[in-house]
Amino acid sequence: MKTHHKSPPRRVLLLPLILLITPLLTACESAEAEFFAELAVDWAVEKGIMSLECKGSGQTDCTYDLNETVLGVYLTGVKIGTAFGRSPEIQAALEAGDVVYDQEQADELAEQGAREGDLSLIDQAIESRPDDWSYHDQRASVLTAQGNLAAADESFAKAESLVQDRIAAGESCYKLQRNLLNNRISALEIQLDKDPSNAELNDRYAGAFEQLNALESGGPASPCGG
Amino acid sequence: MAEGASPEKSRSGRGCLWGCGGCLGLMIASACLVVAGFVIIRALQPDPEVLFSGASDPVAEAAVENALNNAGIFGARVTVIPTKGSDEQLAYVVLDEVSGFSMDGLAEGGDEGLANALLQLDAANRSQGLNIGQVAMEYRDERGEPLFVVATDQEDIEAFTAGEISREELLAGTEIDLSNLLGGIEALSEMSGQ
Repeated sequence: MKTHHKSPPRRVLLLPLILLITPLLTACESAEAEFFAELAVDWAVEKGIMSLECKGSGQTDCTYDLNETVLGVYLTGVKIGTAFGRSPEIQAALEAGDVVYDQEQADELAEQGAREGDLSLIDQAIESRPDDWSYHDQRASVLTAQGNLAAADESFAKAESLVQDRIAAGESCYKLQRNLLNNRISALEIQLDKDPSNAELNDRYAGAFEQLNALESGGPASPCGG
Repeated sequence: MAEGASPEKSRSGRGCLWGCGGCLGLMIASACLVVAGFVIIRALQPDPEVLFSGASDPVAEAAVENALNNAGIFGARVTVIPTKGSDEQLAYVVLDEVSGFSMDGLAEGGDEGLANALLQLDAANRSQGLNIGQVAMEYRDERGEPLFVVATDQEDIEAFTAGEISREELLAGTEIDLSNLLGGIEALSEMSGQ
């Protein structure tokens, strides 16, 4: 596709990408659409998907090309992954949408289960994302609220073992413990909202806060050993 | 041998058959090699389901959401998930029209608005020790369908906000999955062609 125009480069560049982002343009306000379009065009030029050549005084006589071959190769590259020099982390980030969607669904189930005291809903969330320790803490909090302390301890321990496994594999203790304790505090808060005077819930809530404070102060009582 | 066919013609016919068959075989073998290469490359890549199997980080999510609000981006859903086998986390931002996403402030600010958004993100990451390694943004349309995903390294964002790399260099390091968007356009053109 090759076109010839006499207009400022940016305006010229907007035209072909508008074809690519038609659905986006219909969904957005005009300022948003123009902002997205300008970014998309500049990105396409940087990637070689589009080329721009300006001549004349003031560089206003511009010719642009949409290089379908490069676009095709790029899109194939996104599907294949690292073949075109892309880092595995960036490739995984591009593909994380399905994981985030599944997590949103599982979070909804677990939250509903926590609010309604329905363990079967939390178990469905665990089945969907078995390594997500926050659901085990949700489960443990519901069990604590229901007075089933032995089962609650088992679920708390399961959440901790998932985190410990990752720490043992070399991940940051601070990052994971902070994550675990913050999720645990949130899970206990849901139950405390329903039953503020429950002594077991209050004890565990205070204990989680104590551990979080120790972690953040980095003292000897820290779960990461100070 | 058929009556009337000369031995030379028959030999040349067999030669052509061997030649064409050889070419076809070579093409099939090449195609198989390419497909096998793709399969191996895919198999060597980390599986996002395993990589992001841990619990999301509520503190980091609130911090990123706050940074986006400060930059004029509202209604974004933020998920920050630890990356397995790494000290880093992925910040995955869903810009969903259905959830009331709006970025008027950012859009009106143009390039300065974008720089400010990245600055806010970078400041939150540094000051609160969020350990964000990659940032991905998914845009969903008014029906909630994902249109495209943009991903970049936090390292590049830091370099950009520190003035070490240009906007163009930042864009060059950014990757976009446009397949949903292009699939949508194909469907639209099919509909309009009917």
